[in-house]
Amino acid sequence: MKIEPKISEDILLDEVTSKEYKYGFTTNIESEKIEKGLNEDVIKFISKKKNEPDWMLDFRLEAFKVWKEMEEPDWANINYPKPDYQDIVYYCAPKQKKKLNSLDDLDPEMKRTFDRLGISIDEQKRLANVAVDIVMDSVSVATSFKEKLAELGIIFCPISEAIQKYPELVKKYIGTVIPVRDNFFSALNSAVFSDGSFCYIPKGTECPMELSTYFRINEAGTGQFERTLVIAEEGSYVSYLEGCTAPMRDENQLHAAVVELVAQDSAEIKYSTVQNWYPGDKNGKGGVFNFVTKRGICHDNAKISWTQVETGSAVTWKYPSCVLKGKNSIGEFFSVAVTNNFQQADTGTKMVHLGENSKSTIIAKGICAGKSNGSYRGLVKIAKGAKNSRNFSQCDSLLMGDKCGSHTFPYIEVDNKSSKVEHEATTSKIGEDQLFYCNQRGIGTEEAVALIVNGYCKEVLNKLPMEFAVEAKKLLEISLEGSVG
Amino acid sequence: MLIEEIKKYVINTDLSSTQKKSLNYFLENGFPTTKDEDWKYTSLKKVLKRKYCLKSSDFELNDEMIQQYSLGFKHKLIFKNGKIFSEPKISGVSIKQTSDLCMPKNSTLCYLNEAICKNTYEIKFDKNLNLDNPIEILHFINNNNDYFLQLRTKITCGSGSNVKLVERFCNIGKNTLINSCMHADVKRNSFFEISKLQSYNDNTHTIDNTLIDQDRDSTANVHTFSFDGSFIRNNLNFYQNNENCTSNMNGITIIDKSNFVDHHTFVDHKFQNCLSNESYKGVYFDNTKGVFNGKIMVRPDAQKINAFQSNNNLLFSDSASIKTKPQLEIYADDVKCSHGCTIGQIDKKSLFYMRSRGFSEKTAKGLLTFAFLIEVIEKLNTKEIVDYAKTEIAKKLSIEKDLL
Repeated sequence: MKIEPKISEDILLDEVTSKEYKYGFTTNIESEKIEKGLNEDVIKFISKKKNEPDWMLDFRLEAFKVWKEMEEPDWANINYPKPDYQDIVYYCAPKQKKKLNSLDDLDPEMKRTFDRLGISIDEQKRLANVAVDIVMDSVSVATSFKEKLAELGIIFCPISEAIQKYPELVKKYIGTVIPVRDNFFSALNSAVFSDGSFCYIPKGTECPMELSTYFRINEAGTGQFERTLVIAEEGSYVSYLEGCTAPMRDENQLHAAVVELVAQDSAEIKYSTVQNWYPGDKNGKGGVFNFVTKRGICHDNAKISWTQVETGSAVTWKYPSCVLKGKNSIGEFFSVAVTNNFQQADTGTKMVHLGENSKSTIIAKGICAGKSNGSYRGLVKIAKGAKNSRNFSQCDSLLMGDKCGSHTFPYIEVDNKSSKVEHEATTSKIGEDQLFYCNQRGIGTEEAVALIVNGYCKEVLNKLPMEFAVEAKKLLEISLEGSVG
Repeated sequence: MLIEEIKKYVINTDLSSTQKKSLNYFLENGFPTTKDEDWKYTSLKKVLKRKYCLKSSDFELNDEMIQQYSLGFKHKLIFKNGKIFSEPKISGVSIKQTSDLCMPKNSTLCYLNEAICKNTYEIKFDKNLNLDNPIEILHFINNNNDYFLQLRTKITCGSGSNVKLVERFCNIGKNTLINSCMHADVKRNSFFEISKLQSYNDNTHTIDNTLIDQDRDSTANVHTFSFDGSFIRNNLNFYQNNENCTSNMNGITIIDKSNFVDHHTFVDHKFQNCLSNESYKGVYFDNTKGVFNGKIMVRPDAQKINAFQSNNNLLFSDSASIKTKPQLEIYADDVKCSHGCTIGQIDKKSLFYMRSRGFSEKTAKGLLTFAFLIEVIEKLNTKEIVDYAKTEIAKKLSIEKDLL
């Protein structure tokens, strides 16, 4: 009878693998879009559509020029059919019938979409004290709590609006953390980004609420190119949430976002992500390609903390990074990456220590099930001048099923004698003895797996803001239904 | 430049068809560059800049020199510029020269080695042979010009045999670049151990490729001691081709001046119930650079694998640097794999404790560093090698050997 837990585990895994994507549906909203393909005219069209100033158009055109010369990277441990970049629609916006003054004016159909996703704007507005800037197919349609934030001098708006209203701020910071020529996808994003969020926290201000944006791919065949810029001035604090869900599609969709964070002296930015793009069906058909470039720069005494729960996407290629430029700056990275079926994730972080006494912590937890592959790829670089720097990295993988793969590629480079770096990684499956222990105490196998996985991820989930932890838990449930309690 | 020299050299040599193929492969791909992932941190540019010749010149080798460099083992296999000078007579051991021997490869340098190495040796150990004493392999190198030396050895350990080897180099000539390929075929239920003592002089640059194929129930141990030599690159590959194999790797690196050491290890777990253990410790002084890349691969269905890897480093200078990449690639679920990696300094509290008890700073530091290395030394079971390691470590840490 000893073999029993194993069998129930198999049944459980079967259940998991047979689980269909719950959030896969499409909203029928009239969209305005241009022809497929990418050329200078398309970029000019996007820029004109957004009524952008010349410097922005120049920025885009320069990026396009750079992108054309670049080659799509293939060093990541992922296999996917290379998207045809001329077969993508680069601009698509829901037709706005009228300007929205309040959330009540929102398109009822769109509202229903959000309701089905479990995001009740009103509820969040009232209960959770969250200001939501909803991005639906690249154009922001609803922004809440704006006035309350404005009182404190905090700017939280779509980046297209920021380009109009605060051009000097955008101009000063855009492309400074992630230069246009940083990589293939960031260059592409710089050329064609449709919209995104802009957040500015003035000196000494503590943002009183969690700022949050929900992205959602909608129109068939459209890639989504978000651009986020968060600037925290001296001594300020902000917690920013980003969550994604996408409807079911058969063809692969491309998502190439760029997120730039600037933490000035003594500022703190907490950036949390729950990612649940459509992962493809259980045969590995369809799903979103998620190629994201995220990076933050920390000045003296500043802190940037990335927390991510990655459950979706057919292919994930994502390395939220910190450049610890200032003295005593702190970078943190907490990640849970779940892959199932044929999903592939190559994710991790880069911690570049440049300032003295800079510290970084990396906790990466991978859970692989089905025939999926999960990789941790990270870089810890301690420059010569980064005296007394400290890094601690831990990356663990939990394997569920004998057809999945888990990989670790940590790069560690140290160039001075006063710094300390620790790295550890383990790979294992849920121990039969652990399950047996639980069974013995009257906990069913299913619950036991849930308990163990929950405990395994706890370190990371605890870092999420309260409101988000619920969402994260929900998404973990979908990815490993039955495994998580 | 060296490539031109190689082309010139091969015109006057008879190559077999496999050698020609290997040569063409090498000429097509050239020497590895920093653009290759495996050579990301290791640039051969400076090493290859010299004008090396490929022809060896003769020199005199006497017993006195051999005595000086030997660690005093009973059996000695002595090479002179890659050619056998004297060999031990042991029953059950056959050493012969072959001209054309295909061996597995892990970089273009192995192809080059196959194409142009003139002295390929095959060392065979008979079934169930129990070698009482290790065989000491001594390489003496001396050339009139800067020299690009190829070494090529195939070792076959018959099933049930127990073989221990010790390898050491002595370069008394000009600048030498050694490209060494060793392939060990470790048969069923046999035990194979090689200790690589890398105390080269400053004008020796080494690329050492060691590939080990293991059959069922076999054990292979490789101990690498890198103490001197301006450029050392070790490629160490283990292929576990059947169940219940054990692979152990241990390394101690203590380097100073502007020396460079790169350890690349790879363990390929292809079958069930296997074990690998890896422990590399490094101490870096002055302007040294260290690289470590440990890759563990667990193939699909290779269940019940235990693979452990650790890489610990001490940096003693701001001009020293270390790049390390402990890598796991795992395609099976019922495994226990872990790696750990640390980079740090001597604990200040421990140092203070020792200082307050009257140890000089140098001695205290030396003893603590030795304590850091002891985990690896304790795994050694040959008295002469432990002695060698302690002597070299004491020299590097400038403390008296008797203290260790």
